[in-house]
Amino acid sequence: MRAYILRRLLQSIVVVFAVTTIMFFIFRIVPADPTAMMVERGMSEEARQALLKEWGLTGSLGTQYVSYIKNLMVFDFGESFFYKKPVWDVLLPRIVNTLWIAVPGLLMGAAIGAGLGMVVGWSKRGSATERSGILVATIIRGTPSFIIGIALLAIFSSWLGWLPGFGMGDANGKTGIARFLQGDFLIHLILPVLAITIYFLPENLLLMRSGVAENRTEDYIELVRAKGVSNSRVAWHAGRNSLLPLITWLFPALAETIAGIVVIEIVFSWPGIGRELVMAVTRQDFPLAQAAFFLLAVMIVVANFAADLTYGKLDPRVVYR
Amino acid sequence: MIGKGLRLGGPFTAAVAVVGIYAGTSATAQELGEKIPKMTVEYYASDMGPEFEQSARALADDWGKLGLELQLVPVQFSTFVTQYIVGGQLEDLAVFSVGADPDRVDPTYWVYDVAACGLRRNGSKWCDEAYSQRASDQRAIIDQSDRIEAVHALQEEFVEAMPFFTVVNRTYGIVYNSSKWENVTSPEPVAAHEELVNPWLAARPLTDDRWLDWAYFEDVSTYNPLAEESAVGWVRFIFDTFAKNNSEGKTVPWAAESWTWIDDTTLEVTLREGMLFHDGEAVTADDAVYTINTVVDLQPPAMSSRTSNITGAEKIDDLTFRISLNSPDAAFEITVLTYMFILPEHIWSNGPEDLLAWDIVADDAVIGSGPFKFKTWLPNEVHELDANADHFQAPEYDGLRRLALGQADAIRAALLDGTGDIATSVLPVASMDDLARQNDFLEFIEVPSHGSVFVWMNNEKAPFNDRAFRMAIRKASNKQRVMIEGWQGFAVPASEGPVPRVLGQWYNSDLEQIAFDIDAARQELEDAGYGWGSDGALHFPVK
Repeated sequence: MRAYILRRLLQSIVVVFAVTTIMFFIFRIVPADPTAMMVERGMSEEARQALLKEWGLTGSLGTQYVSYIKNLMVFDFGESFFYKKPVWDVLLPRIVNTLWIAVPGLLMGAAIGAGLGMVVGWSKRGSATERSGILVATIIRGTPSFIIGIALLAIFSSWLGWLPGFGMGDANGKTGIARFLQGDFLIHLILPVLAITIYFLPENLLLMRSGVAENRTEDYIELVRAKGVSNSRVAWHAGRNSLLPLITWLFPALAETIAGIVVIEIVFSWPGIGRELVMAVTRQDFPLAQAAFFLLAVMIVVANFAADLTYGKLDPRVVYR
Repeated sequence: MIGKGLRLGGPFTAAVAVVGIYAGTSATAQELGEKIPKMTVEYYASDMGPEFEQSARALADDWGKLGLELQLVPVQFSTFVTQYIVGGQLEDLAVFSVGADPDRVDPTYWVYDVAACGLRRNGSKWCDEAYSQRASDQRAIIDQSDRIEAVHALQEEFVEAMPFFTVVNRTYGIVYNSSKWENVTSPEPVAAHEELVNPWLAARPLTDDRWLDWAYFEDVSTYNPLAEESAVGWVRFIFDTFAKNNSEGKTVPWAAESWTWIDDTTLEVTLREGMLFHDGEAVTADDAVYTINTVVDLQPPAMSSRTSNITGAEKIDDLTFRISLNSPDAAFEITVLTYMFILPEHIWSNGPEDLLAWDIVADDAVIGSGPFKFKTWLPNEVHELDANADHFQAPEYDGLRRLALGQADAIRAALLDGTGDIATSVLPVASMDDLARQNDFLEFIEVPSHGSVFVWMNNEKAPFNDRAFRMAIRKASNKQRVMIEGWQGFAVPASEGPVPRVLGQWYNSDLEQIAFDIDAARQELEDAGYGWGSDGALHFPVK
């Protein structure tokens, strides 16, 4: 077990290292020069060279890479070209903003998805509930997150005018946690959270459904039924045993959903890490983009790692080698 | 692919392969040179709005009637700027626009920066040494009428050579909530950039909501004026400049009450009396001298385009100082006095060693003398500036809020739900007009500008190195069609030459306008020895 963890840990480090290396080279290979806009506005060549030097973009690619890796060892991604301050100072508040929509969205998606999955799985085979449940879940599953976001915006914001569709609301001069504990913020939270919930829900629903549908024919279910307990209690037994694949799937799904959240932040103008990442790429703000991609890579690797470990804990049949 | 740029090629490439199905003349095979190879037309991809694709399509459709095979290639904005606008990598043709920046009300950008030999912004790579020298020299002609004459002569030379041309001048827009605000004025011919008097300082509230909410796209990167490069105008709401350009295109006094040229390279500036910094300290010539000399010492990269000609400043008395220049600069007032700001010496002289990297928000040092005072900044979300009631042109409302919304739909939504009071860009102008037509509480202002949609041709490459071919392309360009199909009427067909007509005195109104005429374009080609094969394709002249 220990050897397995150690090996997976090393693998994870190699993956993160590879991702950051690829990112480094991608940003330097693409034909986009971070000084181009300034040159377009008239920056002199001397000033451009001074700026490139300050940003560490002079010298050979090899030299730049060595210093990048050295800094990476201490998680130093340098200063954002755009904001002119350390990238972590820029990213940390954005991460907090993202968590505000991501955590409730993912939890609700998992809980509601699992609940509905149980209902659909327990319903009679071929019934209207099962067929419509699978159909709707499959359609939503194939829908890109921006379509879900835009549909919610169109219905609840533009058409009905019930909910605001962009930003985090008026801060009213408040900072820190007080900024988030305001009615206006919570109202602004609804649509993006709903979008993430809907985006995350179908996988949970479908997985839970197949688990329950499989379990309902098992002998132990017959036994429970024979004991004369109510139908819903029987369903609960089947449901509980179907949670195992769901939980192990949750972690990689979380990682996968992060990509969807990036898009949802754009649609709802939510000032989170996803929107910042897209802006950073557009502005050719290499340090900021690299740090944001690094964070995403770490989150995905950690999620996969956690999934592997959890699986063994939950299912004793899994043996680590 | 990478070597050629990150272009939206492959399945996204819109191909217009039009090979002269046109009832024109066609030469016999033995008189023909090589067939003109397929050409690319690069343009801003849809991240900059649909107008460029439509413009490129309309133009290419007509150019195809010359017997050319054209491939339309959309290119993402920042890649386009890097590769073509300042990168010198133009392949054949490009259709794109240059912005209505405030400093471009001076003709230098139009006759020199984009047209002189070897300059980074001369992406069409035309090079005429004599023209370039004269275009450079015009900036040093202090006598205004002499300079106007020189600039007019340059335009004549330019049109004669036709290295590239302008198709339309862009119309920008302002849409605002007229149930809450009045006297929102147009900054024409400049787009509604921050810092200008119009519409910002002129606006008056009609309700108790005395905060003007600007629904905008982008964040500000820093409040340190030595380092800020993109939201230059926003920062100058806080830090007063010496002068401002008004909507008549004139440079008028602002923090400076007056200025006079002592000689060709020395300007004496007198500050307005009674100005105060936001912390209550008086604004004096010491502050102005300190700021200018600090800029000269540090040479901030972000400021280089405007300040590199300054050698220093010296105090004359409490309100008067002199600025010395390296060489005479006729555009100094219009481009530098409206850009240079005044830092409070008592704060900045106690700043950290690296002033360029100073985070003045973190250190509570955003103190200027401008019409607004810094209040809050929630990055990528909102900026709030309190009105400075002590300012000589204090706004008649309580504060200005800049919402960094990141996308056009959010800006539209903000206007509709009342969160935003005014929008000035990102939304296509036609959409602004539509919004105002559909909603009684919104008003639309059209702002004709000097922003220009260029057609660049690679002057270093055949057949574009042949004036006759370039002239034929010009004659086969239907500006009217581009205005309608590309810009839904929210543009103005451009006048001849590089200088936009809205620049008034700088534009040479004697230039002969070239009409759209495919027959004349084909005749131009035929006279120069070009010919058409039996399939209608254009061929080079025989060598």
